[in-house]
Amino acid sequence: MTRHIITVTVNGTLYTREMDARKLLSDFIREDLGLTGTHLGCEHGQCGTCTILFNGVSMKSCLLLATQADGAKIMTVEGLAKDGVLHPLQESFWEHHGLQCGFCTPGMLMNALYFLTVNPRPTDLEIRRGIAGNLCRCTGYVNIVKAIKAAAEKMAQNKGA
Amino acid sequence: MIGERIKRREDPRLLTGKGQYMADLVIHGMLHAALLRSPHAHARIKRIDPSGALKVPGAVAVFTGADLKQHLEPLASWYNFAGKQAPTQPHDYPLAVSKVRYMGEPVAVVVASDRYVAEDAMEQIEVEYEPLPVVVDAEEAMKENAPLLFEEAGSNIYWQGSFQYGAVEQAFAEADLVVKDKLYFHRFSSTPMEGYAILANYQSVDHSITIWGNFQSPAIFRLRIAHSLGIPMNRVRLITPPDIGGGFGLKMPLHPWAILVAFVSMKVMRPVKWVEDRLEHQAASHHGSEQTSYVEFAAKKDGTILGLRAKIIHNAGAYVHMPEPLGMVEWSHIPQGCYRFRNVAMECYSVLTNKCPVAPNRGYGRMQHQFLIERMMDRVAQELKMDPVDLRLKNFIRPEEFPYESTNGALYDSGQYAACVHKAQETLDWERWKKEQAKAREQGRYIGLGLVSIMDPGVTNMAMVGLFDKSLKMSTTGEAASLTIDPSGTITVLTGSWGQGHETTCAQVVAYEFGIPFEDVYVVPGIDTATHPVAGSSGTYASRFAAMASGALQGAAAELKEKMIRIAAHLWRTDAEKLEFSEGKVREKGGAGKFMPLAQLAALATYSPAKLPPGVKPGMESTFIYNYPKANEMDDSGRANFAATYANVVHAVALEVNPHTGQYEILKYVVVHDAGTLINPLIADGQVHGAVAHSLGAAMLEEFIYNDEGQLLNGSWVDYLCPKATDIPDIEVEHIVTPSPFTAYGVKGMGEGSGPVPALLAQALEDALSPLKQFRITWSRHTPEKVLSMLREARAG
Ligand code: FES
Ligand code: FES
Repeated sequence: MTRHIITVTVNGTLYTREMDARKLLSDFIREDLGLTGTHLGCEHGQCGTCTILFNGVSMKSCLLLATQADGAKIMTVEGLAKDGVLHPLQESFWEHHGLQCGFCTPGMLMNALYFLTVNPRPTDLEIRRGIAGNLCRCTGYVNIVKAIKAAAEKMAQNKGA
Repeated sequence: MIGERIKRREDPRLLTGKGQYMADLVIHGMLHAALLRSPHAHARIKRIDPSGALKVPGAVAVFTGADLKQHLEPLASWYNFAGKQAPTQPHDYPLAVSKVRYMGEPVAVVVASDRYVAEDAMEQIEVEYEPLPVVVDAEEAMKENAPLLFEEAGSNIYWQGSFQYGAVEQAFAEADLVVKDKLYFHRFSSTPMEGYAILANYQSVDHSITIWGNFQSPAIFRLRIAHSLGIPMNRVRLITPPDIGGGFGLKMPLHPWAILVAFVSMKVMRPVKWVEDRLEHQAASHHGSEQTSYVEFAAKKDGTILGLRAKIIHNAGAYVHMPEPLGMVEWSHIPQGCYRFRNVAMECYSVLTNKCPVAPNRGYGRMQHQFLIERMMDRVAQELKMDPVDLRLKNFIRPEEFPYESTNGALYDSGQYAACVHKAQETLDWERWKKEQAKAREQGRYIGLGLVSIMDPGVTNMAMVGLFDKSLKMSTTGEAASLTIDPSGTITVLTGSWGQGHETTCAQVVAYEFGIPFEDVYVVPGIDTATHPVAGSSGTYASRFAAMASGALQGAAAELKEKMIRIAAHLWRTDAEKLEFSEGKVREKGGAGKFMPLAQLAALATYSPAKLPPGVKPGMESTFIYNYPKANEMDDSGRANFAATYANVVHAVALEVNPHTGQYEILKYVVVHDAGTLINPLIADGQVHGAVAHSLGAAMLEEFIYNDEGQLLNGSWVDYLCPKATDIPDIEVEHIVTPSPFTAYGVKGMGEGSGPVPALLAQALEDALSPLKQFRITWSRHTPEKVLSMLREARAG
């Protein structure tokens, strides 16, 4: 098996690591970097629990090889809160009970974060479409939609202020 | 504190990626396991040659069913509690021995330095199979000449039993109307986002083993795991991590794979971890139960239901893993649903087939019975040309009849069923939708309304096992909790169950009991059988937490408060009767005089036992094992109070069918729920949302589809369709609160009241299409294809 060395920025920290060519990016993040907030619900691109921001775009890390991340800037759920202060999305999920078991939550948050950059003032239906690539088995999505909607308003206000 | 919408204290860790699930656990020196699984549904294993696996660099060991058979006891069953053997049990090991009986059954396990290598090694194992005839349909499997899963058993019927309550013959003789149907309830599961996972670490020095797993009920199955491994129970320690990625009952059964991974750790003397992947979970973890029912309902002309007679056939899959075959008799919680008819005859068959074994899945065994009752109510309404809602209202048990002992002894605690129906209609705006429906019909559009009403019982009384073997005499429903007040005045809580929101709700109950701030109560996440107290039936299943843990917490708190009062009375040389505990302190009744805070009392009991009154033990700790007071044993006529609480739920829907595609859109969805006192309504609402989503997913999308060769055709999440945010409507939840007279605070178990959705959609679809044809929907999964074929049928006349 060929080995590769990659350099990647994750949540603002620069890492250089060597790995097998076949290592999935999701496994690299969890095993090599110890960032276990990125979860694996299917490993075939259907559930979205492994969603990260890859150069600012939401992607499913189980569908990428780690070597593809050479030179990339990645953000995982661990990068969302700053200095112990929760991101408005995190606050809003907490406030609106947008999570139960929490397994889908990191991926849901990362995808919502990206989605709101593309559509900062979404309708409920747009939110539902925006997160349709992320499965949640616990919440029936009701409170997730509420949480994202409320966070969008909060974030828009913060921007305005 | 009780009844407040408090934000969950679990959430900050889960929101920041600091949750700890099984896959996140790591111990030094641990190896990783991979399982080789059978591609055949039924085959003899002619030859296994695992030697190739060990040639892969990094592979450490490989084991097959033969190794297990040599070293382990077969998996236990309920019959072991009566010193008996189950019909097929001598052959059930966590790896197939000589024969495979379902596609995906594990035949070998490899351990290696990491999972990638373990899977490489797994691919080098050679297995030669001789395929055997396959049977996937339960009714086929019951026939004389069917292929046998266990030849020596002589039959595929694992268990059968008949039960009669009331005067069934007479009811049918007196009926003006008897309606009959064959109903089919399909196979699906709530497929939690996280699969099973196990990490086992054997210590040869003292022959002990620690097994971490996402067990829903470590307490129940510890004895059975010890039995298989041949390690004394007190040396088997089961630990759950703080977080579980959904269980829904599926992680409740006796884990064959916990035993397997533990065995491997014993053999290689290293920690071993196995994380089930999605494809493994879908094909071969456990599925929800599939049931065929032949049902008859007897009714009077005026709509009074007289009785129900049913033959139910349960497709159990290839093996019966505890708690199965309990799913077969879960109807015992709700024999007559919300209705007053008392004549019930059930003839039950649990049948083995070449499909994945079944297990509890949210609404375990009760969904099937709810489906059956609600569908037949609609059938009676159709025949009598009555409004289906009026028929239900006519037959409901009345509020003044509670507590109501149902025909098999299930003691329905309380409820206001009609009030829930009215509230649901009001919230849905039933009348407005009726008008919309009429308008739509004029325009050739098809709107349908539906409303069903079911029980959402909580807490299984283990007396239920008596239904399949009378010599099994049990009566456990309980839960355990321990509280420690430390000298700083903060309280630590341990309970015998764990799961979603428990850290929050337990803290609410304890803060309420002592009148102290919520923040002063710490609930230790997860369970460890070495430290946590357990009751005979402890665990996170059967919606038991709210009702049972609150009883245990209340009991432990009462003991401590009484102890503190005794200590204060002794110190103040006064009568204990003159004192009370309130707002975190012991004080004189009336509140004017002396007081002593709990920190001071705990410090005294901890550091100065000489000051304690005679007979009062040092320390400030209490462990309380609560058993529900109405949990009785089953009597000889098959009667017992089979659950502990009997919440009820009404679901109402308005939907519109697209006549060109067969798709339907849910226009409005309402749930009215009565689970007695709610500890935390925020969490309760979430439970309702989740239950509805599971059942909507099942009713609209999800099914495990097998072909005649026993091949699962949709084993990934590409083709097994879990509902997405775009599939689930907004769900409006309303509560009516009728406290249980029997539980602490009047709470009832809740969270599984999702059963009626397949019946609800059937009713609404029949209503929508009624201008075209009066359909009789006898199935539980309503795909657009199915609706389209109905439309075609109607048009063809
Ligand atoms: S784990 Fe990547 S999409 Fe499911
Ligand atoms: S919160 Fe459990 S899967 Fe979404």
